[in-house]
This record gives sequence, structure tokens and C-alpha cells, in this order.
Amino acid sequence: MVFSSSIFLFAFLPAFLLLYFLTPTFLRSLTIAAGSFVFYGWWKAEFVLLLLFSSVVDYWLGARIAKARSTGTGTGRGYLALSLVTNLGLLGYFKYANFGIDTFRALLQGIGFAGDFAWAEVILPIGISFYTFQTMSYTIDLYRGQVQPARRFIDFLCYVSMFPQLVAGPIVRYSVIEDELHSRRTTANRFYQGILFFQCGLAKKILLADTIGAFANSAFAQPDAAGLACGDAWLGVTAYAFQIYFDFSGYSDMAIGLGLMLGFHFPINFDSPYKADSITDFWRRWHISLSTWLRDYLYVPLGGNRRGTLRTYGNLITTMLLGGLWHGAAWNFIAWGGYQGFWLVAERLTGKKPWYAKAPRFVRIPITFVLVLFGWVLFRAYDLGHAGHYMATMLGFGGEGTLRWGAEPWVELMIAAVIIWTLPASHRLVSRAAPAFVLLLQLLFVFAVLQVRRAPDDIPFLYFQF
Amino acid sequence: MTDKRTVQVVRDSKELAATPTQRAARGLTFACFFVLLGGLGLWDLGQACFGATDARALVLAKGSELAPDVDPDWIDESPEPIAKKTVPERMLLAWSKLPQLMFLCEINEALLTTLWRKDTGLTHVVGPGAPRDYDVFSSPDGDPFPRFRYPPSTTMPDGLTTNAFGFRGPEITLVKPARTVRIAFVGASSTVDGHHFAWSFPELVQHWLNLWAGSKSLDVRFETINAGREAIGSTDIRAIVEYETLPLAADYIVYYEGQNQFGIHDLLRHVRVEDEFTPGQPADELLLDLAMADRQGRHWTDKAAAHSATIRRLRRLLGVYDDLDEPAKPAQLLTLPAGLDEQNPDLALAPEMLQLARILGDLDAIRRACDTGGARLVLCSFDRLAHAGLRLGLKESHSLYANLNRNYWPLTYEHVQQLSNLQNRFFAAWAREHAVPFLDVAAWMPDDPTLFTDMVHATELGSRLRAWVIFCGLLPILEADLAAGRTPAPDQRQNNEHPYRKPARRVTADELNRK
Repeated sequence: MVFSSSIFLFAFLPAFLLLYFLTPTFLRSLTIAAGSFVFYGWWKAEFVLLLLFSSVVDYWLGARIAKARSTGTGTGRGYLALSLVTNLGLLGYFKYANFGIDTFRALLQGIGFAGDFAWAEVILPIGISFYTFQTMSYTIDLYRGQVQPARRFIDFLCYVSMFPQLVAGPIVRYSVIEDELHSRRTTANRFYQGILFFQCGLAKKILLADTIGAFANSAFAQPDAAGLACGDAWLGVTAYAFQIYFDFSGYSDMAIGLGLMLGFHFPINFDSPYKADSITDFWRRWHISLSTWLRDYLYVPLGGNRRGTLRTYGNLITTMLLGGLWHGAAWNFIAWGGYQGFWLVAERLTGKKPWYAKAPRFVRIPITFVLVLFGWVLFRAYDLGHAGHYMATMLGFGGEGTLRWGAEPWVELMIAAVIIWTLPASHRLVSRAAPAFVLLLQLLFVFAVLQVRRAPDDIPFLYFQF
Repeated sequence: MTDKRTVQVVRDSKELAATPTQRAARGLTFACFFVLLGGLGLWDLGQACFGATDARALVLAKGSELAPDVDPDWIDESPEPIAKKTVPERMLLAWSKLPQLMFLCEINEALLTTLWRKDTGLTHVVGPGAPRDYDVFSSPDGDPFPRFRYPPSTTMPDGLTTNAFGFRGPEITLVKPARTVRIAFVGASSTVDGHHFAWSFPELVQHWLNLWAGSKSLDVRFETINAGREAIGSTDIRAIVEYETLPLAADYIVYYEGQNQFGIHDLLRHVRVEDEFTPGQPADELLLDLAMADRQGRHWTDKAAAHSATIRRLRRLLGVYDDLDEPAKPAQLLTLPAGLDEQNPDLALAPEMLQLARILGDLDAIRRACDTGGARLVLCSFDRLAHAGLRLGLKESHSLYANLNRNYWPLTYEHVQQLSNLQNRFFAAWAREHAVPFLDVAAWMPDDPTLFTDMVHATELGSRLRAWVIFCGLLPILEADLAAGRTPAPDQRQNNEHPYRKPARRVTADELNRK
């Protein structure tokens, strides 16, 4: 089910909220878990079992870890290892098996073997990258003694399966909502904030991301980027940058809003990332729940910046390469991670400042944005060859182009650019809730809802595929 | 013991409704949210329970009328999708140069030889980019029909997957298995169905027929063959029946086509248009943007809307261009042959109407071939969407609107519908005359734009609903034949190889030039 679909907006959400607030407080976690299973199972019912399996295993292992620590019978290291193996095993199989087989096949063919053995493609369960990271954070934090084990299985199940952030984040650590799983309150003020977040997200997705995305799709659909002129290539990748931002931050806003309606406070996931004036700054603002997760559960355990300069750079690159791989099982995602890691290291070399640090901020921001755009080419392209062609076109080595767009994309991108670079991030707008903003938001919400009613096709959120 | 020091979470804001204005804003927000989502949800629920009957419900009701003992829940059941194969490199390369499916297919050699010109090949037919080499096949006696066929056991670049006989759909055996009823569906693109669809309608019909046989504990199974092929007419279909499907011991041939002999020039023979016009080329403003023809340039927002999808969307949401009426068209008059009874046409007048002489002549040939080959012909009326007063949503039905108003310019919807009905009534009259079962698909299908991508091609929902009415329409025929022991007939041929379907061979431009 997609947040912006008719079935979610006009059936699931109203029915769920009604049921949730009619349920006695002590059963509300159960209501969330049950609702989440319906939400998740709507796509493929059998994958609900996978979610359930992951929850049962990590709940049980978590309890073992906590017991080992509390009774002093050990550190629980073995249970933690089992949890990591299980979670990474599931992720590895469902997300990376096809990639591994394809790579192996290509290698075989490269050395002259047929490599045409049978392999049934594995279907990627939506959201597995997100919920396995969440359950891993639970067992790791238990092992570190940073959280208490979940008191009731149903609370833990609610945490893992919670539909607002189940399929595309933000990645919510157990520690963040630990208290609220046991006891939470929904006030009129909090619910109001939740609605505003939700409305912001829906407007971003329906009115901006889906409209702008069409231009990106046209540009990236050109085979070998040969039918693309230089200007079209820049326009296409800019459209993609705007699309992915409005799409993903829109989803996060909706998730945060739904969380608030239910009494949860989720992490902020975006903070005006295109206002960043360096790549380091960009990663403080973009997909914050992932970057902080990678920092705390990968970069720091690898040694972070505590083991010398070279090791720090190696850790940074490793973290970003794995971060890239987390997004998708393809070489272009790994290359994207490497590209980001390269710029982070480059900025570290000059004291966490970019090479253009001396330029005024109004210059640093566009330079950073252009660097980010080249990264998005790697991210959006079908493969590395396509990315190479596309970048070459951006640099003036393309053809004359066959796209005939007229003025329309420029107008759309101008509207989006004004929103991106002149308005504050949505959490800041919502926290102030200025009446003029609220009024405008209601108008946009009405438009967005009417658009959903009219559009027959649900365009999924981009981050569902990760 | 939380980790909030490293993760910034959303904070509760201070009181957001301290002033009367803020309270009003909050009230408005709650009202918008609940009234809009809850209200529309309740509206949908009401519609589902008590509301107007939608296309699906209409089709289910028609199905129950035709075949009372079918389980309506089957309509949602589908067979396993056909596994895709790897698209051959050669096809991908050809497709990247010229994305026309025709050139990935096997061409009838007699036709190719006729059309081929030394040095320029087929460029005079299809323009620059036509391939120089072709895979060709031959029909018996140098018949130039069918003009082409799909390559066997292939997934084509647009997703169409064929079996070993070059038909869309699952594999079948050369010799029909015992106790099997084979039904071949013949027609053009609307029979092939969208290449990206998981199933074409004949595949759904097969699945439901087997569910039905299972529910009745019948010792029989059903196989369907989708022998449809894009852009073909009745003479191609006659050849496909004779050379391709009857040798596979088909028990039934279901004919569903009419569109490729229903072109604008065929129709214009029966419509007198008062003003000057060019067929198929509407006025400039329609070409620029069919949807905005009557509003262009009246107001600054019209000009802005021409450059922004967002502004167009906002305008539409406000009711501007909400639904598109038929654009103004030149004055015209339908001119039918003297003495023609539109409701009950006389077959003697068929030669004067559309391309009916050719179609009915081919149907005669197909009927005779079926009689000889031990099969039974079933004729369907052909479903189109066009009627006076038809209003179309800009987003949902843009291509349908363009198809009706561009391809059939300057004909009115009403005249297209009248001529379409006439074609179907001639089909019905011919079927009555020859005691051929007639499935009135056009009458049974709802006139709902959500079922069409253009005037004749179905959306996935449209394809499924069409499959359902054909399934329900076939059941009484099949039930009677099964009861009388007329079907399934054993395969008497016991062929070791298909008598006509030989592997294609590659011909080069040099070879063609030498002919």
C-alpha cells in the first residue's frame, strides 16, 4: 500500500485511526501491529511471515542478550552474532542474491564459460533494508547496554512492523521510541502537528515529485544518452534531484506525521539538504536517520576517526560504499557511495571544509549542488555505462538531442527551486504553524487529495525499491 | 535510557493554538483532514454498497445472465504469468535502431518479394531505417497472407512472449492431448492485447474454463491459442486459421476483429461532410493540445497552463477542462445505401458498406475451412467506445480522446458509433444466415472509458472484463457441445510436424535484389 494511494488515504487510514482510538490503551500496540500487517500484506501477504520471523528472532535473541548481561553469565556476544547473521543473511539473500549471481555469471562468461545455469530471481520484500537495520539496532543497543529489552513481544512487534515508517523509513532506533512503545499520549496539539506533517508530505509527493519526475524519466530513458543534448541532460538530472528530494522527504514527512498522530516522535530525516554548502554538510541534512545509523553502527565500530588519519579515510570510504550498496544491489549504487566517500575524504583532507570553502555561501551552495547532481547521475542511471554517457553529455560531449520539451520543465523546476531554496524545511514550518502557512497547506492538501482521486495510477515512492 | 543525544527527533511544539487565529487554523486543518479523507472514504464505501453499478459489476451481472452457474469470484483469478525469456541481442539492436515490432517478426516471403525494390529495399514503404535483411517464411501456394508472424519461443523487446508455434501464451503440443478442447482466438491487436499485460484475454478465458470444468468435475481440459496479430485484416486471419490453427486440431475458432477494416476512408464513404477537411488531420489547435482546443489563449492562465502541468492540474481540479466534450466538428450527414434497415441489415447490401464484402467473404472461407477441419467458428461483435455525448477525463482518457478526434477526424462520435453498430449488425446477420454462434461482445461490454486506452484497445481491466463476457458467452455453446459429445474431438491428424509452420530463413538484401 502506498501512502498516496486512494486505498490508503480513503479507506485504510480513516478506518485505522478510528479503530486505534477506540482501542483500550494497553491494546494499542496490538492494533498498530495488526494494521501494519494489513498494510504490508496488501502488497504480498507471504512477506508478512518474513517480518514476523525477523521480529520473533530478534525479540528472543534480545531477551537472551539482556539476560546474559543481567545475570553476568556472559556478554551475549554469541546471541548478538546470531542476530546479525540472521538479519544480514535475510538482507543478503533477498536483496543481493540476484546481484551476486549476475556478477558470478558475468565473471564465468568473461573467462569463457557459458554461465547459463538456472536461477529463479528472488523478489525483494519492500522495506527489508529498513526493518532489518531497525531490528539490528535493537540487539546491538541491548548488547551495548544502551536500552532495556522490550517488555512485551507485542510492543516489539509494533516497533518492527509499524506501518508509518516500515517500508521507507525514517530508520527509527528502538532507543528513540522505547518509552513511547510502553506509554504514549496523543494530544490535540500533537495530532495537529501530525496532520500538518502528513499534509506537507502528501503535497510534496503528489504536486511536486510526480510532476517533476516525468522530466527526469524522459531524460534518463534516452538509450546511451545519445538522444540527449547537454542542456537536456542538466535539466533531467536536476529534475531527478528535485524529484527524489520531494518524494523521499515527502514520504518521511508523512511517516513522521502518522507517528505523531499515534503518539510517537520519529527522527527528522531531512533538513533542507540542497542548502548544504559542502558534501559533509549535505550528509548532515540528507537521509539523516541512515547517515547517523551508518555512523553509529558502522563507522564508529570500524574505528571512526580514532585510529589515525589513513584509517579514518578508509573507514569513511568503506562506510559510504556500504551505504551505497544498501540502496541497491548494483554497481552504480556502489559507485555512488564511493563518489560520496571521495568528497567526504577530500573535505577531511582540508579540515572538514570543501576546496571552495573560501567562496561566499551563495557560491558554495550551488557548487555543492552540482557535485550532488553528478552523484545522482550514478544513482539514477541504469548502469555505469549509462551513467558515463550521461555525464559525458552533461560535460558537452552529447548529441543534438531529440527531446522537445519547450518551456514546461523550466517553469516546473523554477517553482520547485523557489520552494527548495527559499522555504525552511518542513519540520521548521510545522513547528511554527503560522496561520498563513496552515491555510496554504490546506489548499494544497485539497488539490493533492483531488489529484489522487482522479489519477488512476499510484506512483510508488522512489525509496520503496531500496 | 534513550539515544536521543545522537538522533534529532521531532519535538512537540509549544501550544500551536494559543490565539484565535491559530485556533481557527487548527480547526480548519482538522476539518480538512477528517472531512476529506473520512468523508471520501465513507462516500466510496457507500458507492461500493449502494452506489451506481460500475463496469465490473455490469459485466458480472451480464456473465451471470449468460452462464448462471459460474462463480463470480473467478474473475479475479489468473493463471501463472508466462516466464519471460532473454530478449535476443539481435532484436535489441534492431529495436534500438527502429522500434517497430514488425521488423522483428518473420515476414511472408511472397509479400516481401512483391514490395521489395532494388537498392532501396522497403524504404518506400516504411521510410529510412528499414532493415536490409529479413527472416522470412512461406505460405502454401505462394499465398502472401498472413503477412507476418511472430518468431517462436521468443520474448520480444516490448515484452511479448511467444510459444514454440509463435503464438502469445503458454506452450501447447503439436498433437492435441486426449480429452482436450482447443479454442483458437483469431483477430488483431485487440486479441493479442497489450504486450506488457501479464495475460492476454484468451489466457484468462483458458484459466476460467478449466476452473469451470473442475467445478463440474468434467473429464476435460481446455487450451486456448492466442492467434492474434497486430494490424491484420480478415484475409490474414483466414490464412492464420487455415495454415496455423486448424493443423493444431483447434475445436473452436473465435473471431474477434473489425477495426483494421474500419479506417477513416472506409467510414467517409458513408458520411458527407460539408466543409473542407483533411481526413485524420484535425484543426491545428487540436493537434497542439487536443485537450485545450476551445480555451487556448482566452485568458493569461490559459497561456500559463500551456507551459505548466502544475497549473493545468490546478485548473482541472477547479473544474476547468474537467471532462472533455467532443470538439466542434464540420457539419456532416450519414449517407447509407438506399433501403438499408440499420437495425436488421440485409446481407445483399453488404458489398456497399465499409469493407464488409471482403470481411464476409473471408468469413465464408474460414467457415468452410472450419467445416473441413472439424472446428466450429464462433463470431464476436467488435467492441468500440464512441457515442454521442461521450465525455472523457483529460488525464485518464487523453489517448482515447486523441484517437477519436485525430484518427477519425472529422467524423462525429455519433457517426462512428452508428457505423460500428452497422458493421456488428452485419456480422450478426451473417452469423444467423450460416448458423454460426454469435457472441455480442460489443453489447455486453459497458461503455466505460476506464476500460479503453483508445477506441478499441483495452486497459488491463478492460481486457479482463472482455475475457469474462467471452468466457460466459462461450459456456452455453461448450456445455451443449460437450453434452452432445460433439467436443472434444480426438486429434485425427497425429502429425509429426506442423504441415505449414516451417522455421523461418534469413534472406539478405542481395538475395532479394537478385529476384
